[in-house]
Amino acid sequence: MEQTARVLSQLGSKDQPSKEFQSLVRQIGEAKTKHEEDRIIKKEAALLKDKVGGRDVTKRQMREYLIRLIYCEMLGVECSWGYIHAVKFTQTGSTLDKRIGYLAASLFLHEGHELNVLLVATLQKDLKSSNMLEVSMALVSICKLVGADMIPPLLPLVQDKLLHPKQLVRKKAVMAMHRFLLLSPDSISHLEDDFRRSLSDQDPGVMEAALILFHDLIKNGPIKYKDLTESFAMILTQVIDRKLPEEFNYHGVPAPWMQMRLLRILALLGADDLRTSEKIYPVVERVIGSAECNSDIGQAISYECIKTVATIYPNNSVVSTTAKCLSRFVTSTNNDWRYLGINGLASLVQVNPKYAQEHQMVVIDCLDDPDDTLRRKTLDLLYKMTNPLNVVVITEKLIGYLRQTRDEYIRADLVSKVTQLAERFAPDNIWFIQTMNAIFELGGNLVRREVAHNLMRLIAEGTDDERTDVELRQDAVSNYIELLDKPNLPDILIKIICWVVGEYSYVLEDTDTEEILEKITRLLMRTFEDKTTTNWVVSSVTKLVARLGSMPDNVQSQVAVYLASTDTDVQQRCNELLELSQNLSMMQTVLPLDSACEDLEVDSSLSFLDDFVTQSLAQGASRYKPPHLRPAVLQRNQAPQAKEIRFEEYPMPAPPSFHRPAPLPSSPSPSPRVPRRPSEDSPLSSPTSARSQIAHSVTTAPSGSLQYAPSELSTSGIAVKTQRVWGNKGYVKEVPSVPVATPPIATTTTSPQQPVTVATREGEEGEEEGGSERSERSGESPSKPITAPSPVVASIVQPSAEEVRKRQLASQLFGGGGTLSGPARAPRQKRRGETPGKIDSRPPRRSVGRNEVKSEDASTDLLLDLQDLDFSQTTPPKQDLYHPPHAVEVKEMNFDPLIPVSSGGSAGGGGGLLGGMEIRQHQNKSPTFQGEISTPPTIPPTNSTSADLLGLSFDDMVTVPTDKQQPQPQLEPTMAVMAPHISSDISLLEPTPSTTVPEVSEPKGSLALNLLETPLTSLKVPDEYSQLPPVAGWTNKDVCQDASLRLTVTKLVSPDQLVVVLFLTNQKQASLSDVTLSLKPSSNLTAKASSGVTDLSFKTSLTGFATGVHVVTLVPSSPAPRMSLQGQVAYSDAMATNKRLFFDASLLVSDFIRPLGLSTQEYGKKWPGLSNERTLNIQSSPNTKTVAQFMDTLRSRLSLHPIQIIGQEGIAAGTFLPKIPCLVHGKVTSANLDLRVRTPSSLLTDSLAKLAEQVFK
Amino acid sequence: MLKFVLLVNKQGQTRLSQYYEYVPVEERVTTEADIVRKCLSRNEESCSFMEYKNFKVVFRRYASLYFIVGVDNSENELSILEFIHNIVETFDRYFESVCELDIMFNIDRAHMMLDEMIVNGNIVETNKSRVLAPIAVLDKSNR
Repeated sequence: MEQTARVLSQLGSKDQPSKEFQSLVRQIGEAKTKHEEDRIIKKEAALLKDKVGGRDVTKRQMREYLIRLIYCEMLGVECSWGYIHAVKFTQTGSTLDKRIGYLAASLFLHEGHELNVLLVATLQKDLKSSNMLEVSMALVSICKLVGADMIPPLLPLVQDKLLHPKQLVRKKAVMAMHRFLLLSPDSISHLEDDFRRSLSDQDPGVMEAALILFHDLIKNGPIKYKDLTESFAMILTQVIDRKLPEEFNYHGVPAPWMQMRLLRILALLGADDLRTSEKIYPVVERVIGSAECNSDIGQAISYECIKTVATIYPNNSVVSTTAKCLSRFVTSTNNDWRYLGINGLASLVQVNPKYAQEHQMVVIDCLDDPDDTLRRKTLDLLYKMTNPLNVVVITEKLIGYLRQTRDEYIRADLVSKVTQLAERFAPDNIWFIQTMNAIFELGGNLVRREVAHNLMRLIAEGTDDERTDVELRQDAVSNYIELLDKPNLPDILIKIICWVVGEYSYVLEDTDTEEILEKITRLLMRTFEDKTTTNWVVSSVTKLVARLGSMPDNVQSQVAVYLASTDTDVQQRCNELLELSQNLSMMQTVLPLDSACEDLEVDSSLSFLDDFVTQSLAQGASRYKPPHLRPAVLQRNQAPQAKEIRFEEYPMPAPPSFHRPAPLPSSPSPSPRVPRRPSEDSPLSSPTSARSQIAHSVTTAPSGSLQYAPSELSTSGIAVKTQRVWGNKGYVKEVPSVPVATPPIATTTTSPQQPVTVATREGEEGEEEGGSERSERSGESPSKPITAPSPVVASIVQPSAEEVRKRQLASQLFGGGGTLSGPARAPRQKRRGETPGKIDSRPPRRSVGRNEVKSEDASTDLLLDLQDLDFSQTTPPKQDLYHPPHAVEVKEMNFDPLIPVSSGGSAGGGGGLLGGMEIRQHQNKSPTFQGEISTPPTIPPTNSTSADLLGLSFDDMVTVPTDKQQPQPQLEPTMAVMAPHISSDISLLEPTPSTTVPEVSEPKGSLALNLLETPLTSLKVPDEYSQLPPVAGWTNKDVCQDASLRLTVTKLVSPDQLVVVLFLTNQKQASLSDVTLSLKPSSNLTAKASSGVTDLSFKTSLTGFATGVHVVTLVPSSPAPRMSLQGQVAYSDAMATNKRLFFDASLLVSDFIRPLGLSTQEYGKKWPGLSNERTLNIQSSPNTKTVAQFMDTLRSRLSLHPIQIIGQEGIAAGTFLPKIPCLVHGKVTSANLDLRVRTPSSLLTDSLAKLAEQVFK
Repeated sequence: MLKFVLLVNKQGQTRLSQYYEYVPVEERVTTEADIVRKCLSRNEESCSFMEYKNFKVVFRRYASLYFIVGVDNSENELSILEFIHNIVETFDRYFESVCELDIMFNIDRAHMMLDEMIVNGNIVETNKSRVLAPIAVLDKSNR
């Protein structure tokens, strides 16, 4: 209370609060519990509701009421009735009242709130105010409340404020622009110049705000801002040189947050871009050098440097400086620092895994730290450094954590990580199954369902080695039977258990089937989240009854309960079971042992009925007539009936429901047109049910089987949709059924049996081919991983037991970090089970639906296979596949970065890491590389640029530090998705040698510069397009380039489309391989490559100075406010280093407008019909002085057809492709241009008006 | 990006909250309670960062008050921790040795200071004299 008194006495001098307010604050302050606080606040809210609306409330009272309302809202009582008062209060007189009004409004309302509209006029008024504080508070409120719809009325006013004399206002105006950027990037895209001016504002505060704005602009697309790299680097240098006023220092450190912001911006600019990164290295090194390492703020800056270095193009010396700096973090006793150290390691290991190894003991310590956050981050680090050697240990750690955490987000994250690791690195099948069981048990609801299918499939199909299979199944079944005793199992695990136990319970010799049956039957008493689970249980019971050969009473009664189930599918299955159990010997024929993988022979001609038919005919039955031969009368009678009952094709039922007529032998099937769902929907379309189907057919009508076979076939038809295959290649390969077997796993999610069916179906065909391989592979049983001994274990005199344990763990974890030694690779290689010689016998499994390129040449095929595998997200990195041919290794590196690895680590971080390690290994193998690795210290980083520039004599020398060859792990997922298209191998490129070749072979510096200027005249548009006129300003426009490659674009106007010609020019003599150009037009554009390719990915190699030409035509399907043709060029240079360039060629509305020849009358008729109008009033500018000039500009810049000039007015028309009319009317006066744009689409009107505004301003 | 700034005392009572992304009132209450519980469960040696749902939480304790900031994954945790200290120093300069009650009685001023320092979820001003200048003018005009 003493404090209160002091505060109150202070307050007295400023703004004496009322007694009521004082008592409210006191009450809240003294409240002991949340409950008490609630009571006070509810009472207060009720009181305020009366008072606020009352008459004669003074401004001072109102101010206080609003603050009390803020309290109510903050403490959880929504007071929406009071919002309007806050809005009203913003319009009052005094500055303080206004401020409180705005404050309350911004705390109560949010973007898109209905009351916001009421604020627009006030905001406009305050923006124009001469009081700096009022302008400033209006700008603050804009940042909090404005939605995209409110931008237009405010934008011009805010724009003016960018030039306000006071820095406070300028800064806030920049932030308001930032808000507009977040809401709608298009709204401010024309203000770029103003922003650049703010960036060079003389006031550091305004500049800092502009940095925030540019940070987000660059996030949206760095290409446009690469030219600013030097500026940002210079600002950063000035900051660390203490050029800013001292008041910007924080604890003696100059503007630390600004430093960090700049580092983050530089990281974005330098990512994947060697040339830009080279401008960044020196300044980052300086920042690292200048950052204090004994204060939190200094360390924060160091940490930001680490993140930046890990993001930009890696440079050996900078990375190692950073790594030194990192050890300050990890070796600290401060947990905050250690936390950052672990995070920093996680990003650096993606550049080079050795850094984690250096700190292995620290990592182990963190793993056991009592601090939960630290442990969790360490697991993230482990996840990122997983490889086949340490996967078992790491997975164990992850599962251990999963076991103890309750946090749903963390659990979901861990489940997906473990699944990914297990799929990618599993050392053997048994381990895989055990790991997956653990995952299903711990987080079944969080696992993707196809994972379950892969697991069941693995158990069903096994390997080719009978004994291993039996062991595998025994292991699985006994595990699952044990699990049945646990009370709470996730549905998905129950499904797996039911299926596996139902199919394979017989492999356990010493177990009582009746007991198992009993256990499974007991499951029926549980309640499931997923209704379909019951189906699986009943199916399992059915199979077990067949196995047992008798129907126990308790099972019978249990099943009978479900006869009345509301779910028809369950009913169906129960009926089936009960009926079958009447005839047990038939039941056993229908459900034979170990038949999940057996092939089904469907007698589609129904020959087994021949006798029956002959007999019936003999007895005078009429012959079968196909429907179309039947009398019309009959059909008409049937038709309405069919409509009423509609057995067929309800789209609704959950996946496993399988509408089948009750197969009671006594009840004949209703009609020959029995509904039959395609088997991909039905879990019971497996051997069991199909068999029973046939069995019934024997005794009853032949209906069902008729359509069965085709529907089965249709399953293989959907093969192409594969998303994931369990990445364990040994397993994948062991299924001889090559292409079609995979997909159903991805597409059907609840049916385990079905993929099996298909697989075996295919298996038969593959038998002849695959037979030989099978026998070859049968000797290879999966073996456990052999852990390599730890390469680095520091010697300590007498290690304690604990120490020893940690060291062991470290060696398990890090043993594989540096070099992957032979033993580790061996099992994987075996599992893969192939040598190059074998592979050509059949196409790779996943190649369905693509151009299958078969080659007699084994090595080519091998490359194809690599491509094939590397692009998939789940298959393990190919490192384990082959060593021998050098060409293959290079190939591998090229594709490596295409494995999507998000830096956040969610989508398979291990891949990139592994890729990195693999390359390291290659380098070690190659004597050239090794020799060069020792040299880097003598070669400053810039040397590599000059080598690049010269391009010629240096090309054979390895001057690039090793890390440059690391593939960059960052990759946009979309690109990764596009990647597989590359192998479609369609290339339009016809490399044409340029004329400048011979002269440039001398490595002279001056010449090098000339090289960059490859004459553009050599870029020739293909003949068929040479007649088309280009879009103004878009002839041979460079959209992106680096030292070796340049992309130039020409836009051509064709009557019904936009033709974009892309020239890829190799700017050096060394040839570039695997130049892949991928295009991504805006979603509203339909793009076609000239040869009809739709995936817009072109691949080729470019010899020295050659130019490749690609042509793409674009037609919009609808108008859009912003259109562009984005994309990337990936290539590998002479050093086999992967490079990537991104570009963004903007497209204007006018690119898609074609002149529309209308007469004035026709124009007059059309005008009223177009509903969407925009009027623009533009100040007169040089190109709108006269009507003629105006019309001319319309024609040349907007591609509109000028129709007529009538006095001061002019009209013009155009068609937006394919055929949306756009009409423009303009009136030119001495001071103004009144422009009216009309089209049928509001989007088109807006975009056209915006363009016109730009053109005429 | 910053998601919110929260001042909560040891009893879990909110003293100040600002959100930079819209969160409905009821959800705020539950989230706040949840986060405070987690903060309280951490001990002295633990680091000042936590994962909460899909974002990170950075917190720092001053006497009975917890300053808690929610940030997305791109943010540098240690810089946020120092930023919290900067906020406290700013409060301290304005209130002259700040305490919980200062903030309670002057919640509007505290909000205004945060408004100067954080805009659109970004740290925009860390210079104390600049943060306090407009508020000083406001105080003067009202006297």
